[in-house]
Amino acid sequence: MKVFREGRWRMLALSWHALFLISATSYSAWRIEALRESHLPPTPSIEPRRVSPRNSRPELVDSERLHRVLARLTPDFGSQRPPINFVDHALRFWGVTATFDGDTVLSGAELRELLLDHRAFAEAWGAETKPFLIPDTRGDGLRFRTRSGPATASHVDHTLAGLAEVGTPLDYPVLTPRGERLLKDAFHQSIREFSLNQEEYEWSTLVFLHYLSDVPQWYSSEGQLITWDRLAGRLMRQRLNQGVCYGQHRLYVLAALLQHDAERSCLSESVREDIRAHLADATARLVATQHAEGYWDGAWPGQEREGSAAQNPGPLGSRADRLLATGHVLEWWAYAPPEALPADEVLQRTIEWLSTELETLSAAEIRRYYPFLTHGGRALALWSGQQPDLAGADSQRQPR
Amino acid sequence: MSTTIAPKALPDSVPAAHVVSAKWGMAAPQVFVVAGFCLFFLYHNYLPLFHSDLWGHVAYGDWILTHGRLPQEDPFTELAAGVPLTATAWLSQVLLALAGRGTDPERLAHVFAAIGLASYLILARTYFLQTRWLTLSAAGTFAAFLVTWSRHAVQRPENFGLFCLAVLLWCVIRSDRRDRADSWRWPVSIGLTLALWANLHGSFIVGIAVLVCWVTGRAIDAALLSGRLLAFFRDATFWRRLWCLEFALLGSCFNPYGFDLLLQTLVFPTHPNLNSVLEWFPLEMKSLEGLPMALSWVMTGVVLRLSQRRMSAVEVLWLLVLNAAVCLRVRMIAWYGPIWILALLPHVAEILSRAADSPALTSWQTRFAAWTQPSIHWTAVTVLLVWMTFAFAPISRPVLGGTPRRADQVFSHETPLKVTRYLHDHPPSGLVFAPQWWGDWLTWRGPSEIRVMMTTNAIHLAPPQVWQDYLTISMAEPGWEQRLDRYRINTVVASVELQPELCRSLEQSPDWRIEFEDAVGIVARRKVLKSVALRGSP
Repeated sequence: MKVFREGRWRMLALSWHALFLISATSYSAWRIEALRESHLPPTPSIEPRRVSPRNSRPELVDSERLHRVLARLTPDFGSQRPPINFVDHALRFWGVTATFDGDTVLSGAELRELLLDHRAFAEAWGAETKPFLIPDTRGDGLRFRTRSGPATASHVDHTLAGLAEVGTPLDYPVLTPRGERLLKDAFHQSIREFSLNQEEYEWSTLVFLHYLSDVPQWYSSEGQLITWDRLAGRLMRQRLNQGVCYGQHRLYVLAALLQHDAERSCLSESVREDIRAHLADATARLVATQHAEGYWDGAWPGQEREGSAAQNPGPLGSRADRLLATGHVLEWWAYAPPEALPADEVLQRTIEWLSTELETLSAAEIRRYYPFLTHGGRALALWSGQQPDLAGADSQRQPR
Repeated sequence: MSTTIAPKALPDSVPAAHVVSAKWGMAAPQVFVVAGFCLFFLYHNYLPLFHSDLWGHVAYGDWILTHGRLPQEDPFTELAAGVPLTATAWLSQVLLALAGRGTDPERLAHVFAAIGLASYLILARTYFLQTRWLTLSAAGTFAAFLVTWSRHAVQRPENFGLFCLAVLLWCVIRSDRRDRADSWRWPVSIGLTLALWANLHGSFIVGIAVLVCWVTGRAIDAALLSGRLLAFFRDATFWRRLWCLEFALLGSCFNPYGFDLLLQTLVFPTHPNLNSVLEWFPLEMKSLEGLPMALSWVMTGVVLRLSQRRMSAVEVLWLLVLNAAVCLRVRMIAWYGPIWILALLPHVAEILSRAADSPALTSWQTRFAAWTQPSIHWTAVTVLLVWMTFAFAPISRPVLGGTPRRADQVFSHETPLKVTRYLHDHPPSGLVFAPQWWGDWLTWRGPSEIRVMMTTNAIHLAPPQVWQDYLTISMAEPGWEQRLDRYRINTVVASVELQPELCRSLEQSPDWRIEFEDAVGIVARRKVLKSVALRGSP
């Protein structure tokens, strides 16, 4: 009987140990998987969300003059090697449906092809140029070569954001030097590499705004929970004129974020108010610092906590700086909430100055400043109440 | 050679003084051991409070006490917002906050001295249980302390971890001594120890590793001794140890995060930011840790060569695992020392017990026989020693009174006391760059609204981009000013001793002005640029 009892206890103990081992192992495996899944990147929408301008003043834009301006900004790069920075700006400006007369003028579809088809890129840039598209051979990533010269994009995620803005779906085929991929791979690469504190974050936020509009929050690969509030905070953190194009892209993205929030309530009340106040403050500064002729430059924010911005002309000179700043200002104002809109006189002065400048620039200057000018041209078209390809429809077939 | 004082059978009629001596008498070696521990306590009680993460832990504990819950994210480093926090040392932090709150921060020094003394006393007792040899166990304790010398000034929750390790090792040795009796006492004790440890410090994983080696080693020993692979099935000791391990695992799950704490602790060392933190570097021989490690390897070789005692698989596993851990992460030396001695001391005892039979030692023993006899006089000396230690140590001030020590004596010399005073008088706005080791201090003692870029406690929480940017600024590498712009930092605090490049760069920069400077640190603020006449109409 004792032996039996001892044997029974031994069996019970053995069962316990086995049960413990199995439970601990399976629970560990389950928890590891659950923790891993909670940090997986979010699933994007295939079709990008459209960000539409909310303001226009057709009465302030002379349509004849607009046609003349747009006709000067067609993507006629006149060379075998169109800089990628020009191509993606032109694509964003004109859209994919634009077509033009003339053999050397690239249509919207051709512009996109240059970005997403390695054969077109190699034909334009030659086989010896490093490919613009870099597929990740080990995973599902796809990178756009960036900030390494004219055959590369000028800013982080700029190309992807431009493609999103012209409505390119993520299942769009991309022909890389190593075979076909989908645009989704570029999105995955972007979100995988995104850090809230990276140097250039404006276009990454724009990419997320287009493809993650239904996702309230996600974890970055750094393990940080990314929310729209946090992205907005990052966009508002630095001094006003810091960032690309004197900080105007940050204002543009903030305005787009507010628009997204109006549809999806993605922001908290306090951050929403912060953005409104931030944009209103930017506009107040712009109104205060606008030159009598109607332009701005890098000193547009005036006095900040840290003093006023240094007034060193950019590498292309003062005129380029003014075109750069003024075109961008007019563009984000087209998306701005009512409290961040200036009086019509300010708009009138801006439109007048910008139209005059764009009409009087030499052909060489247009070639030189082209990426800046697309923002100005687009802004004028938007304030006239149309998209550039439609606004310029009558002009596109006119000789330049 | 043994100096163990065994109670002797007394004759029916003996003088009262003899009875007292036999019961309360102490021998000279015991007095020396007590004196050693007194010195140990005195030294630790006088150790200045370190200027680094200690204050971050106090601040965390204070936050927990104030809010009545554990933080979900780092409450003091806004750049780590959105990164989930596992408070692996919440209980230690609460204890430290209870000691560090109020006007007498020196209480923290008392806590660390007391916990250090308790840990090493328990270790000494454990070694004594192994060898039944007082002086040898005291020498072993001292050796463990010396090996871990590089971490002796550490004042962190890690100290509570060492205490738990000492308790665990005591349980392990004690349970082996009472193999069959009290069969449930030891699994329960070990489970409770691990439950406490898991809430005090993330090093509980070391305890689990010690126990895994203890169980696995027993299975290997059973197989080796019997020649049968599955011999452990019939080995009662193996099963008893397995129970202990299981209770330990269950015990370690009694924490606010449950089983996840175990997983989080396991993946913690893989955080990329730790690659640039010295104590998480691999072992380097030319370092404070490399030398004692090398000496410990030499000593291990000599002892094992001379020992005739069989080395158990448990001892082999303990040494292998802990050596590998130290080689990979140098901070693991804190746990290596006590376990190295645990594995080696029985062999040393065996060698010395053989040597004790030699004529030279026998004559030496005879000559000093009187010193090893218990005497109430030695006891009186011991009591006096303990009292003097207490009286001279800062811990006695609340009881015996006296003048509080000056701030520069209580806090380590690198503590930015004057910088802190300056910041109180001129509170900074916006994010402040300060060396991460001062970030903790400034969080606790700086202006109430101060927002620092980095703290030691946030290194493993900060996104790697933030940490890299912090390092770029800290070492004034190219791009440091752009990084300050990126985070809109307008106030920089720098250490004169450890960040000379940054101090120099700030002095030379046209955009920054040194507003305060002393021998320890500087405070620089961004110069407000002269108003530029804007060309636009107002």
